[in-house]
Amino acid sequence: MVPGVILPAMTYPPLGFGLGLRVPHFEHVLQHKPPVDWFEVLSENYMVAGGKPRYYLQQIREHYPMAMHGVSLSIGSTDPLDMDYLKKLKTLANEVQPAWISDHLCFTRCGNVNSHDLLPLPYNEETLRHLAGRIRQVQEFLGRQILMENVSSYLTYSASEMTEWEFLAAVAERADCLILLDVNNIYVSACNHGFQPETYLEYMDADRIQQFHLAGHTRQGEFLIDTHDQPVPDPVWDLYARAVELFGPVTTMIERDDNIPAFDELLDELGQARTLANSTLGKTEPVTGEQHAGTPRTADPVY
Amino acid sequence: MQALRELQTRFIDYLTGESADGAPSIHADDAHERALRLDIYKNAYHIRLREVIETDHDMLWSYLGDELFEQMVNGYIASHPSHCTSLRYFCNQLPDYLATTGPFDQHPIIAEIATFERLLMDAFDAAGADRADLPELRALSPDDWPGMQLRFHPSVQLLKMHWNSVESWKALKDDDEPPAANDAAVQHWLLWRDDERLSQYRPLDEDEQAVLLQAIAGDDFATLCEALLNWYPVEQASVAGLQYITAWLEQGLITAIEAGSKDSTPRLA
Repeated sequence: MVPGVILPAMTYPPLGFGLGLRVPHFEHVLQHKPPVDWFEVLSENYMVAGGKPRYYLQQIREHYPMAMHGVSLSIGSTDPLDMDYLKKLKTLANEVQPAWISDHLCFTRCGNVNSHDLLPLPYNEETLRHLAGRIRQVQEFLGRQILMENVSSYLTYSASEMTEWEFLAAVAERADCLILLDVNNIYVSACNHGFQPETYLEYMDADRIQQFHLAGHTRQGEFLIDTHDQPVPDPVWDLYARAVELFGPVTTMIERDDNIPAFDELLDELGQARTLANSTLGKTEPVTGEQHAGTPRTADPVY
Repeated sequence: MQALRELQTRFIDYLTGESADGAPSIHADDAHERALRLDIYKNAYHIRLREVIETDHDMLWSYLGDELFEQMVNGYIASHPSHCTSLRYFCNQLPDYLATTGPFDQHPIIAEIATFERLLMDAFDAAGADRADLPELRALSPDDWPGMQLRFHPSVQLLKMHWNSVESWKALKDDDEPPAANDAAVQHWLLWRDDERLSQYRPLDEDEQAVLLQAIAGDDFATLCEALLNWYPVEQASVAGLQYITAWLEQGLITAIEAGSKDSTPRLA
């Protein structure tokens, strides 16, 4: 990649329908080799010297393709890039040989204090410039394009000058990175900020969409909280169908981070995603947002 | 980048304890909505760190009871903003905090229990290595025995406890009442991860602790046997040394047996 030169987007070959690999399922996956196309692993969970997590990672990797998903890159932070973290990430990638590496479009730390949360960024030109340079640096260091994921948010900074979808699209274009669209996060943010989630999807450049996340959330008063601890709810399924209409057979996974159910329950949910995507793609007539029978229920606007 | 830097600094300061007045400016119809939105992040910050402490130190929680544990959690989170990338290490300073902060410092067994729980975690995800076995020991030429050196698994740790902290931890783990705290005798403990990738621990007698420490430092078998003369008659010291090495091999503590090279003459006649 040449800094400053925007090349046509090139996505990685799709992986199909996958699940997040979680500790309670290690033994089940290894013993039963369930019919999952691929697994997404949380990079930080394996950045340890050894032990059970790394053992299972190596064993399961022999049977499934994997993608690495991180939560600690803090790409939007104004702290210097954490080169120690990036070196560990690269070492792990050399070991795992993932199909791709992703993290979140957010900041997690500042002034060397870590929030361990995916904190939103102000959507403006200053942040865009900052991010574009940092993502390019990371991509050059890792020797590959990375995916940036949209996060759920509960506030909009006064310093923001554009919508989140305009911002995400601009980041991907300027940094020449790919996008991981978390459909649940779009829905959660739509509810919390009062926008139409379809508008978000319809703005995005299909050439840069590499992966979808599907997940659930929790209502807390007048807000939706991105807990990733519930089954995928109907409005998110509906939004997913719209995403498949717009972007085609994009690699999809169910991301359950807490309240982890039995593996087969997640497998059933993944089957739902597969069925929905196939039936959506099987449609012959173009479907607009208005015609689509499963138009997402408009989130309860906060404003 | 100056505005972005200031915004991020203010947000982090708010999460770690400052009032909402200093938080970044956000869109909200009124102060109530502004507080609601910001508090989602502040609450999440505390809940996340609290969950780490609860998960990493569940027996310490049982030992302290809900009220003291709550006091500890709030005090630790307030005084120790996280500087680590991984939450795995957030509680690394907890034993020091307990040893130096009232009222916990009045009961040193509390810091010892926290130390023990952290070392179990260290054993859990220490680097991996192949284990040596008894046939490797038997295959060694008798001439090589005196200079034989051992290499230990990276998970192996020795621990010195002044209180009956490990016994208390185990009682709680077994859903029993912990014994009354006492510091009647110093106790040595060995922690490691076994071949089944489970963290293990056991007490060490004074002689085993001494020779294990020397063996880890690289002393050869002859030197270990010399050390054992402090506890055993001369005709039994090498037998005792061999018994220890056999046990260490069976427990998966040893990764390599290196034949001696410096001296082929047995030091113990």
